[in-house]
Amino acid sequence: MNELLLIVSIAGSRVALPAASVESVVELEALIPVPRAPDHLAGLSALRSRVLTVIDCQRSLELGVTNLTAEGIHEAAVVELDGHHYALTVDAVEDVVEALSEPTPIRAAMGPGWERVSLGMVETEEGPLLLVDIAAVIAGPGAEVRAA
Amino acid sequence: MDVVRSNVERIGGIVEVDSTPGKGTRMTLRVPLTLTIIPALTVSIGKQHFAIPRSAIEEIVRANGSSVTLERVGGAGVATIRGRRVPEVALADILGLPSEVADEERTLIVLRPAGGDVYALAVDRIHDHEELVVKPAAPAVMATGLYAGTTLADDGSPILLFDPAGLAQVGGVRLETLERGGRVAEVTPAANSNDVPVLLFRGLDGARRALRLGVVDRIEEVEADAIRPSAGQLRVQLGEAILPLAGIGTGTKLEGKIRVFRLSDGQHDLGYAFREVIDLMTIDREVIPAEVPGAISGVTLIGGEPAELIDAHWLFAEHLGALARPRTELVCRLPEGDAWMQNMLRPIVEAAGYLVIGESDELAADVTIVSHGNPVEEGQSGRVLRLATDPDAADGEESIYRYDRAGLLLALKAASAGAGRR
Repeated sequence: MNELLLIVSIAGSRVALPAASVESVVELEALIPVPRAPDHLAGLSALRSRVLTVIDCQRSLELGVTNLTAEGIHEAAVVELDGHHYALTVDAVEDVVEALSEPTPIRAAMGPGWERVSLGMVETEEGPLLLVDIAAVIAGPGAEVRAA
Repeated sequence: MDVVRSNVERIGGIVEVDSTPGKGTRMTLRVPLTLTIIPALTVSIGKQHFAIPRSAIEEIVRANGSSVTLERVGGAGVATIRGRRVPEVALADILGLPSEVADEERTLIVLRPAGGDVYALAVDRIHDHEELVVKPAAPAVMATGLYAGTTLADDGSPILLFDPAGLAQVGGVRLETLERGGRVAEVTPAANSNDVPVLLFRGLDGARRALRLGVVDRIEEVEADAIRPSAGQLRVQLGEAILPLAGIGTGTKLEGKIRVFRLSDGQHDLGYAFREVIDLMTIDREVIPAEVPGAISGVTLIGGEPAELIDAHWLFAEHLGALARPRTELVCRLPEGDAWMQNMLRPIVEAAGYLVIGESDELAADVTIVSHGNPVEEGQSGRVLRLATDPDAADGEESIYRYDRAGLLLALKAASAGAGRR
């Protein structure tokens, strides 16, 4: 069976997340900022007695800022990484589709933010989509600098 | 060890390594009894709440309290809390959060991070004590070095738990200054200092009296029969020691248990009997001095009512007069084998303030006393007094009749005066 993908839109682009690593999709409630934490770490939120670390995907991709203080519904995909739960803010959650191919490298030039989180391009029924590396999104833009 | 440390600290514990070259290494792992529940104090900056582990909190003082002053030394904050200088950092500055509370309005939390010295953290507001189930935060949050974990507060919202050592580090409080910091500032209270702490108590006669706290060593309770007049004054037995006792008027009946202040001037102790302690106060008014010197040095208003101030100096001078006289090391040599000298003369010589030694002791003597006709070894004998058993043989100068008490004392005194001039 082919891998299932969750199609979300981040900063206006439709991308795919591996559905197996997404636990749930939630609407974020009150957000507690974490002073001195990296910029892309929007804060903490609670979900069923668990603390979620909220990652602002737009900031992580250096594509802008998600306004989480504004009124309205803020959707986020909850993922688990190394025992910690994270909520990735997305513009919208669209659909779950089946991957029709293995990820293939994208040879065209991508935006700098996307380049870092890219796992490649997958074919779906809805056309080619960028498969996003969740760990890279969580690590944020500072990660490469630290690793270097 | 790094893995052990991060895991132990994750549950609020401490790993300490103390290593002495050539001797060995001691590793201490301190782990909280309940692994995940940490008693914490919640504080806030602006609108955001944080938690501080209670185990690190030494005390909490108001920045505008009378015993606290805040100073800036080269831009760094220094708080003086009851004479102790501690580095001070504002939580709002560490976190880079806006705060509308002025420096003086803040509350200082004196923190002692594990293994470090104290520093004061200024927070906007203190809220509540909570038992928090702390969970490790995401690596990116932990990487700030400020936090020990996250938890959910009573209202279900997430709250961050601070790591006191990390706060100090990020706040720029240097660890080496932490070791040596917290030194006691030499604050000599001005003559009219407003803050002289006194112990307000009721004497056995019912009068309100006050005693400077500094001279009170401790309070003891004794049976009435432990107090008895002996050797010219009232004395109280406190444990192994017999101390002169003040505070008891003539004709006062002593029954049951008597409470006694044990006063100390650093060398000598003195008892002061009283009925009950009223409160710990400070002298905030003028002291009206007493007309004549005595046990009471003056009267002042304490807590809105007059109280007599005890003159501790007078008490010590009066009750310890002889005992507290400065001792010059006067040495008197007495023949060891002479029973009369040892049994009859020695107490008199000792009472005159001499240290009595025998012939075989090496110490240089100021006075040597021998029986008339006995030889005296040359050197180290000081002044020689010969005692005659026959009054006629005494010439009053070098030899004295041995029951001429006045003459003996005079000679001893003359010797001590001579020794004092040396």
